[in-house]
Amino acid sequence: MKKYYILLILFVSIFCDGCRSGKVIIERSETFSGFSNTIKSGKIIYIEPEASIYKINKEVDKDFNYEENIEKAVIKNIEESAKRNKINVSVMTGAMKKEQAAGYVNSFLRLKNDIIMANTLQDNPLDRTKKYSKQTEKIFVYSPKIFPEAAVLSQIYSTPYFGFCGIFSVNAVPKSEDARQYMKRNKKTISKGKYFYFYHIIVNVENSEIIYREIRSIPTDVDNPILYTTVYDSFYSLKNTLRR
Amino acid sequence: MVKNLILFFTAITICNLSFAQIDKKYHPLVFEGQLPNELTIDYSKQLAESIEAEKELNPKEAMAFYSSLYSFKRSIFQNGNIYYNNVLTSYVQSVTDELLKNQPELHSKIKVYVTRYSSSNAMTLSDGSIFINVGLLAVMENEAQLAFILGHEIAHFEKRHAIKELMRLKQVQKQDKQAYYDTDLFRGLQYSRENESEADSRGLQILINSNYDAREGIKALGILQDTVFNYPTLTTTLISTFTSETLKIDSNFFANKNTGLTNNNKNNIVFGSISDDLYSTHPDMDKRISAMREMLKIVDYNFSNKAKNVLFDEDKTKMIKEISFLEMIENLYMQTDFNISIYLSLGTLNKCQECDYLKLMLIKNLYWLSYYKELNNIEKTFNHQVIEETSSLKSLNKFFETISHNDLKKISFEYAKQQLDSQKSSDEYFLYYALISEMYLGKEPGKLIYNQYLLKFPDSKYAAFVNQKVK
Repeated sequence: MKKYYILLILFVSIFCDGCRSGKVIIERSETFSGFSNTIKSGKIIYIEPEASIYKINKEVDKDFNYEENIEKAVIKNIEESAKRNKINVSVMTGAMKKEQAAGYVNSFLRLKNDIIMANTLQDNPLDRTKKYSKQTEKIFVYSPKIFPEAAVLSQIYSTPYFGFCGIFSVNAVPKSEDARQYMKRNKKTISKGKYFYFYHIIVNVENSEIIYREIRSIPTDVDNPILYTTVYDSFYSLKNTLRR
Repeated sequence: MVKNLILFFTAITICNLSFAQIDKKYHPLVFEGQLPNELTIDYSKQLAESIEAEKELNPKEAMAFYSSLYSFKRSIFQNGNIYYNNVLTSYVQSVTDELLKNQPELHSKIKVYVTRYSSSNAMTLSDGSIFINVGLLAVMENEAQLAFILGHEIAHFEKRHAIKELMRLKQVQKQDKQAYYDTDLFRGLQYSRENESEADSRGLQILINSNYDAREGIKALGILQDTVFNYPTLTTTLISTFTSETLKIDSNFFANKNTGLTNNNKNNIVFGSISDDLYSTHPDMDKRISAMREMLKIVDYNFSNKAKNVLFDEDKTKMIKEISFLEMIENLYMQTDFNISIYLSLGTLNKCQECDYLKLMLIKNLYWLSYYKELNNIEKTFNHQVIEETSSLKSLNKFFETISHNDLKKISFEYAKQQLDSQKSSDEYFLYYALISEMYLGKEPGKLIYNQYLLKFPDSKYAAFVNQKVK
């Protein structure tokens, strides 16, 4: 009888855990062509993480310090998580930027823009037809492409792999007209509601393809332990993908 | 009718670049030197200092205001949208120096940047950062016109317009806690128009006190009002550029009324005014021009005593205008506004048949448009806000929407092939020629061209990329 009680308590606790707002959900995790064969030998250089957090009610509030603290925490977590998962990474910070100033300004900053554009424009190519299921909407015709001009970065940094992590969050009061108008103007990137995403993208600049992409939704009021878990899990998934 | 004709010829004059000075083999501007401070600076420290120095806003309001400001400022720098240490930045800096040479205190607080944005616009942040878009430099005719725009932006900073507007809106919200969105928006727009008028007036005053001809301020506003990159013969250029032995473009397509194009965009003109400014952040341009004319009349402005040499350095200004225009095409490509980049390249190609750079840009843009066409995503790349949509631009967009992806690939391939001779020495061109060939002809023929690339350019910066393709 005791055994059943234990099982019942275990079941209830799992159920409650699943329902609580702090649950991390992997929205999407995709790998693209040639990934597992090639990345093993290379180092991944990460662009400085970016936290874009919008609180939209009557006005659009941006909390600079909050964003910057999250960015710093993400950098720290990337370095720790990669180390624990034995993935060779470095995050582009002050000293590295200064060493290769021209390469950084001319090519590296552009790469970030390319990655964002590739994700924004090449997603869901089939959604206009409406006759496909949600599952098929997520299929890419090709792996998303970035500009081939970014290939020069592999000579500058001696690796073809570059990563970009960040947080994208919106907390828009649904009935606010301001929020509605703001989202209308920025429809490419912002959609209604309340969400908090962590994204992790890796590109191979030598074949101009995005080779790994992952999006996780996490709680809106993120704290350091949740952020650490999220980043760690992301790198753990990456490591498992590498092993395949 | 007469007014429309004048506007038409003004627009053509504005956009008529002869490319007299620029090397036919133009190379986009690249950054050289040490890492700019803006990319390493501690913005949180600046934020704290700004909040501490702020006297008009309470700490909570100051925090919200400067948070947004520095968040925006950091993103504009870190997304690579600013030029550093080049001919454009030094030109704008020299005009600022000349304009403010008698006001050292104000000068020390101002920092001017040139952005990669293509719209004819400028903006100011409350910390004294002024951003001049490269699209604005591409249409200004002389230093004095740019000086007026700078004076206008400096006035926004000097008069603390952003903070004043915020405080006035807060005041309204305090009085009427139930104020709805529309009410706020309406009042906000009214305050914004008042600020713009004040900035015009102060900008003009700064210009009058300088060695620049203040009358050029009026012309600058006229250019901003009338700038239209209109190419009436675009369809003819398009057909002649992309037609080859194996490819014929049906010229009837552009004559077809079903393209949904109308030449008359100004059906609703009443008494010559295109639109009411009731819903605009800026006052009606005619109103602004009239106000400035009156001001110059009232102060009995006489230009004859001023030094002329700083006013019309024609060669330099022309060079800046041409570089800015070509940079605009490059930036539009980088921002994935391929259709507009093609539009400006095609429109200008007529006047510069030997400009290899324009041809290269056409090839690069066509490659990406073909790619997005195949993904059925081409419309996502169409930007309708960067420049005014003329009938010829609408016509071009319709062309890209209607044409099949196979035909678009064919156009890209045939055009790239046509240019083989003139682009012999360009590795970038050959890379795109190979990419287009791979896209249109298939992987195996593509590999042969990649091999050719490696033979021609073994030490190229794209060699690693091409090696991957050959593998």
